[in-house]
This record gives sequence, C-alpha cells and structure tokens, in this order.
Amino acid sequence: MILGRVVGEVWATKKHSALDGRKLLVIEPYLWYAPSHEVAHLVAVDAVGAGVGEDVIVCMGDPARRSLGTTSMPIEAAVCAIVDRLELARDRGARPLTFVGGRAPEHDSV
Amino acid sequence: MRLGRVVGSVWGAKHAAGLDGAKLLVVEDAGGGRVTAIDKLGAGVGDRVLVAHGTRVRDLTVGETVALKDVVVAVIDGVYDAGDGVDAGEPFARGGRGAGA
Repeated sequence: MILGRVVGEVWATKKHSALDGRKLLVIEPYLWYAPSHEVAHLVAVDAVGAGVGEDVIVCMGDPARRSLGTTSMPIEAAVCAIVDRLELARDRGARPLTFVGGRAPEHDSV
Repeated sequence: MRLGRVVGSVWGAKHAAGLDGAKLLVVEDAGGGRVTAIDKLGAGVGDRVLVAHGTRVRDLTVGETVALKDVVVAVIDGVYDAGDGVDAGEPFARGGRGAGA
C-alpha cells in the first residue's frame, strides 16, 4: 500500500465499461520504497469517497480490485482509506524510504 | 494506472498472432517515459490517456492471447487539479508539483 495525497480528479467519456460511474483520482505518493516506479503520479479508483486535498492509502494489484467488490475491473490501484493521523519514528523506521514528490505529510514523531 | 499523452503509433507486418488487428500506441508520460500500449477505445495521437498495466488488466480488456501488458483504459477529457481548476495542459511532471520539477 502507498501513502499519498489526492491532487486531482480525472474525467473521461471514452473508457472501459467497468469504469463507468467510478471516480478516478490523481495521487501524488509521499513515500515509496519501490524505485521502479519513476513517475510521480498514479491514478487510482476511489473506493471510500476521498476528495482532492486528502491524504489517502492506495492499495495496488488484485487487492485493489477486491476492495471495489469485483475482480473484473481492469485497474491496478484503488484508494482504500482516508488518513486521519500519521505517526512516524524519528528515523522513519528501518526501511529506506524515499521521497517521490511533494512534502512529507503532517505527522507526529515518536 | 498512469496518465500520458499519445505520441505515436506502431505497426509491424510480422507480429505475434494475438496482435492481429490490434492498434498499438506509443504513450509518453510527463517524465518522458514511454510505453507501447494496446488501444481499443479509438485514441489518437495527441490525446491524453489513462494506461493500466498488468496481466489481469490485459486479460480483462483485450484477451489472454495478446503479448502485451499495457492497455489504454480511458481517453481523458480533463483533469481537475486542486490548485488550478481545470487543467488543460500536461500531466504532472516527474518529481511532483511540490518538488519544482
């Protein structure tokens, strides 16, 4: 799962029929430890009613489809949670976290 | 999924059997990265599109016999941007808007 901020919303008339009625959100990831993803944005289907400006958790792959209650939607990413509060260790833990874009989200250090 | 712009199309007379009749588009994202994606929606050069990647995506959209895993799943009409209202320009640049890229 990826932590990111919703920075935009996409609309499209011509699209795969399984995407009809779904909200497509542009996500800017904060911290991402998979450097193979080089672009600073991704598009995720909304599953929780998130909007522009909110910090969210994005899940990827098959769990993303399942979080939308289907396995037959041609997508890779879904917004599955809206962040209320974030707590990070001062050294951000042991993982080699990398900034992909944007500022670090507001958080409490412990 | 990623946003990108169609910058060209590809065709090869000799191709894998599953690609018969397929339309292949070269899609470039804001960072300059390019993928070749299969299109069934009728996107053309200059259109902004949403490209999804993966085996399951491919199976659900164009069938299991296609030897390609990037698929155009939407032709973008517009992007509502948090700061600027309707954005008719490029998708977001590499490094994010906050990184000054």
